[in-house]
Amino acid sequence: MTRILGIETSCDETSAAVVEGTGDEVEQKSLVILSQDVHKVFGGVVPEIASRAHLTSIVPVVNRALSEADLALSDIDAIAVTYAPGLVGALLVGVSYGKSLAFASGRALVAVHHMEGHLFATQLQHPEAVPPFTALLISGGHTLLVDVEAWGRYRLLGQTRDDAAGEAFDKVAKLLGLPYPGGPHIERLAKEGDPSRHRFSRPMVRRDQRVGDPDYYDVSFSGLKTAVLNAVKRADVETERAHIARGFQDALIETLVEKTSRAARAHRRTRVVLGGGVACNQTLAGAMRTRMAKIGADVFAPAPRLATDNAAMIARAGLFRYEHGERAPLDLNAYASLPLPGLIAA
Amino acid sequence: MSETILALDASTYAASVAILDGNTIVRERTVAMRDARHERFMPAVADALGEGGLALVDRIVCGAGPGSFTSLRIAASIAKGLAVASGRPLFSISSLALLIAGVEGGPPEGRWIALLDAMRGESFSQAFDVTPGGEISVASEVRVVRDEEIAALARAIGARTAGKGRDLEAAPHARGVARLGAHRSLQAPVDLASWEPDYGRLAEAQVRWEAVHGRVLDGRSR
Repeated sequence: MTRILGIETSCDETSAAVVEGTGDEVEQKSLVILSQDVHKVFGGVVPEIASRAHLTSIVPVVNRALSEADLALSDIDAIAVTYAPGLVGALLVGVSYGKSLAFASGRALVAVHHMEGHLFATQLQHPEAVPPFTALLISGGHTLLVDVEAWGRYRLLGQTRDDAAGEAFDKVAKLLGLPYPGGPHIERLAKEGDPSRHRFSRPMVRRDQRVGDPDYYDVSFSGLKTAVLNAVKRADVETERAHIARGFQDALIETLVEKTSRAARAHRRTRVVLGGGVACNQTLAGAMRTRMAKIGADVFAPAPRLATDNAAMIARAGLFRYEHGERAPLDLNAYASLPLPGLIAA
Repeated sequence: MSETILALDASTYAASVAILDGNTIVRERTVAMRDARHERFMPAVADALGEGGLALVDRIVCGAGPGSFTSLRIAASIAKGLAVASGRPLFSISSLALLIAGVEGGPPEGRWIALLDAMRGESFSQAFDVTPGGEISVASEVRVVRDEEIAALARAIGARTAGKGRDLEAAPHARGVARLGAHRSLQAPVDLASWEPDYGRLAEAQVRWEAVHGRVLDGRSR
């Protein structure tokens, strides 16, 4: 049995967690997430402010993750830290702290790719969410459609060509005069909206697309955002807000569901795993379940704390990497962008 | 018995680490902090500590800036991790003081203005007095000055300048802790949870926000 302390500081959440287990038998012992509220006034994350806040949160957050697990640093086998992708200044706080903690306590250090963490997050809650599966990772920074043949063997099938799904929610929320982050506000409002009032075209979804076409799995949301902008200009926002929110969300969800369905069918997967902050959207998860039921696939969506950025998923992915003998050197750096490890040809 | 100190500073893109036995420098390293693939400060700290690691260290001292935001944060994160894992207390010291005190062989006698690049044509500055015996005392607060004002400022207070490309070529160095034992900030350890460097400037987005809103944002770090 192995115990891993995970540290995550890639964006605006300072998080630490402890998991223990072997292989896919893993238990989450603790998870602490400190969200930085300060960015709300800016309508988006300010990298320098995020980095400063990580430095004044990292010690209490990590200490609390250990104490909630009723463990000391000496009980831990390895420290897993997010090193990419993300805001470099923010990542460097976690990376530097993790390195010095590992060095001074004689523990192993494991470097974890943030998006690989998201692939593992759901399995902490749903033990059966193991490969092979189709994964849709949707957040403010990423939209990735991945075929997970096995842990560590990933086919990147599709991604966004412009805005990430969460970014599209935030931008449309701003157009509709809703607060940041926009996802929860749009979902709530869309429930009251009439789906027939504003029907936006589904971006990059056409019947004549075939496997191998460059746009078969990719998505694009900037055109949809522009369509919403035009609708906002034409309409009285006060009376149309909920209807526009509904139209936008329907288009985004239908696009993601269609692309995910294509991926699951093409690779004959019977499990679909969602991850990332947008996976908190219940309407999306519901639509995904309805569609996947038709092809006999189960959908696993993580609870909000595991969907958004968190260190439990980093510890969980770190356990996999640790068990495979991976150790990070003391000169480990942070990277704004880096391909998923273990990519195989799609 | 004298105490063993691990001193770190990363207020510029060059970082330094020194192991001190009381006021004697046992080992020191200077490294370029980062390139595209490597973060070199942590390996340099490990190398300076040697096989004994932190076991022989009584306390840790970290340069507190002002200076490069990212470099300061890397050093502070490393210092906090070392302190937490080893249970040793962490102290902070001005990087401008380390610029004067870190001069190899000790700074020359007289009044000095220590200068560090603050970007946008400005420098962080602070005056220090150095006695013939090599004792260093603070002679002014930290100020941000326009580069074209430096010469006049130096004349006005009868000081020479120290820093990159100045009268005295100097950069902050961790070894300077050996000459600053009496400095006020080395008398009491910092709170590990809340301590942060003196960045010298607010984040740019915060400056703009406060200008627009006419009030201070959340009292966050300055």
